[in-house]
Amino acid sequence: MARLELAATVARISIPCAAAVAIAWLVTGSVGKLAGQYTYADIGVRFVSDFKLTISYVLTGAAAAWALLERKLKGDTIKRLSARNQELEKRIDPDRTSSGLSERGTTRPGDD
Amino acid sequence: MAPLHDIGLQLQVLYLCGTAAFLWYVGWRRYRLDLFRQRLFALRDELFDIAADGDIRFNDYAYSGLRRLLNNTIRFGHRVNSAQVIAIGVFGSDAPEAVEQSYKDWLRSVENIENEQVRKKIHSIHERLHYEMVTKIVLTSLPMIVTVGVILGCVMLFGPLFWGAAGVVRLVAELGRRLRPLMALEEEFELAA
Repeated sequence: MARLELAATVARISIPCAAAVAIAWLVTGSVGKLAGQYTYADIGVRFVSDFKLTISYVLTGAAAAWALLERKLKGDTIKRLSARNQELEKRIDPDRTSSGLSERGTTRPGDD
Repeated sequence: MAPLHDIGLQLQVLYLCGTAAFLWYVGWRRYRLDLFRQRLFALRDELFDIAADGDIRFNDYAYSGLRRLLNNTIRFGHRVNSAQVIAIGVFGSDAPEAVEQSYKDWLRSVENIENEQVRKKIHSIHERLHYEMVTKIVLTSLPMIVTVGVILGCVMLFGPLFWGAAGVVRLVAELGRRLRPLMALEEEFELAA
């Protein structure tokens, strides 16, 4: 298992990590070229100067925040209802086995 | 001196990439994991109902074996991905023969169920578990989505010309039977649990 797990983890993590390094490298290069030419304020103003784009940034951020809050709410609901379900099933099958997820229905720490 | 317009464009592209990465990793993939687990919980409930109705005993291996498999797959659902399947394809499975034997024992215990309808229901749950695994693996990997999309598109478009409609159905059914990498994944989970 350890060999497979290691190979799969390396494959799974290496792609986003490589992308993050590439982005960091590009940003560093861009910022280096700008040294002494523009202030951060110039760049910031340019980034948000287009009204339509600014609105899209705000809406994207709001939608992402909403999705995360919905996910938190779902976790809270799972935590509230799952214990009851377990209790009812245990009355019928005392040897009932569990999936071993956390009480919020997420991956148990240590299983990552 | 770099034009300010270009810098603004670069930042916007960077923002777009960041948003796309957020949607893919934090949004879509985690959503698919939750959906996968939810569907497996529904299968486990279905199995529980079969036993609760008295069609099969809770201590029957046909029940407990499948329930354990569902539990393990729910627990390690985050590892049901293309990287694991490729790793198994390249390195092979580490699962010992005992784990493979337990699957054979389970199959035998299902065959020992007298009621044919119950037997079919149990097999159906097991098959749907595999279907959910395939769906999860394909839909959480961009290369897989593209590859499978192109292959399925070609088979649907050109398959009937070469093999006829019945041939295409046979081909898809055969692919469904060749789920060896998934069986290996199940064995790995059994070992890790």
